[in-house]
Amino acid sequence: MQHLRECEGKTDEELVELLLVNQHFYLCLMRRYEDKLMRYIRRISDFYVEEAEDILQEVFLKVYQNINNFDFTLKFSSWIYRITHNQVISYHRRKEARPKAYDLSNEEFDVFDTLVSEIDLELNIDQDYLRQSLNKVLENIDGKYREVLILKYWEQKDYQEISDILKKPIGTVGTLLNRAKQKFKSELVKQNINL
Amino acid sequence: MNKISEKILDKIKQQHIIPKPKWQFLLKDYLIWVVFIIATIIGSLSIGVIIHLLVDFDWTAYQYLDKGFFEYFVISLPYLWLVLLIIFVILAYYQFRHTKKGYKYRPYTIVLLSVSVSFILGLSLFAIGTARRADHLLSEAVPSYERMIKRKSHVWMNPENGMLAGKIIFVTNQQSFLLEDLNNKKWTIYNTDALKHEVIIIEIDEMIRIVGEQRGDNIFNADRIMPWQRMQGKSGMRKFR
Repeated sequence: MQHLRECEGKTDEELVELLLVNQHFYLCLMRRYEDKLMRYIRRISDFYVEEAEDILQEVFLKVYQNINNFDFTLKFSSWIYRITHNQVISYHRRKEARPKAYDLSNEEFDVFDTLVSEIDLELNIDQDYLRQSLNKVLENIDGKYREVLILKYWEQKDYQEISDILKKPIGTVGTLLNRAKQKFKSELVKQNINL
Repeated sequence: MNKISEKILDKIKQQHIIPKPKWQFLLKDYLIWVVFIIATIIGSLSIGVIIHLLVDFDWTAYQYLDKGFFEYFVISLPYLWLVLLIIFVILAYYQFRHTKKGYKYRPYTIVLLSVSVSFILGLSLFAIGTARRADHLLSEAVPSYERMIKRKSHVWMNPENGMLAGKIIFVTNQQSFLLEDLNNKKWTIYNTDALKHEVIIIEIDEMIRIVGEQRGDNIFNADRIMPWQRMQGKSGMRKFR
């Protein structure tokens, strides 16, 4: 546990350099990301908790095995999110299934406030109703738009980070995000959800 | 929570899992760049050879054939090199897209950049004669290559349709001379009423193009005699006498 104390105050990138010398520092990195990535996997997929845990384990192993390929000009966070995103897609392919339902159930109200204010809608909604509606709306949005919304509003990533995670040009991310907000808005109208 | 982290660290220790060495990733990155560079060079060479073939082609010969310019243009394009160019531009794009920073650029930016670089390099390869040499080399080394390329010589080696080209090897008299065509076949050319381009002198070693009519296995009546090399800015009937 000595290493855990040594990790305090260090950036992810500094920990990457340390773990190349001592594998115990990897525990700090994993601990930093375990909950975040678990939530991210559950948000962008319809996997059960056990399946999401399997994916997360694969992600952590993959990150460790490929740590020499980490590009220090990127944020470590973007890199690990990218690997997670790819791993979820690969898991879907193996299962030959497409994501359907999402776990957006906790602490999402601030997120929704921000999203709603950005698409010029006034928020006047019962929070239980919001909770039920949110999954339904996102379920009906195309995957590429859904993921960019999740990264921006749920994972709080900026354009550059989203670009690095999805491996798309920043301009494309901006376009995707604008379209995603439009789709979100029209899906709200389509489903007759009153805000 | 945190049990996954512990589990993974245990697994790493127990199974002695180690990170893949850096050289493996570097090798992969270098290979991507090497294939990208090769694809760009071949793409550039394609552009160089296309320019060479277009410049070398006789775009005015359609008037002696039963074809309009558009039809003649379409059947005369160097499709083999155009297809090669497309393949290698796509390959260069694909490779660049897979470099570490390749995703940061929009597809049309990469394609535009790749085509522009290939065009500039291709123009240089044409200017220094490399494109011509590559075309010549392929022509000699690959027998089927000539069948896939449309050249000025192919257009003019067409006696049954009234078009012939070659070198004068013997001047018999004012009315006839012997010609060795581009396939080394010898012809007797009758030029009694032929219109001759003003630069033409019927003498040995003169390379010429003839429009006329085949009258026998190796006899050709000339209606019009022109130099093999097109005279820049000089064309039309007033050049004939």
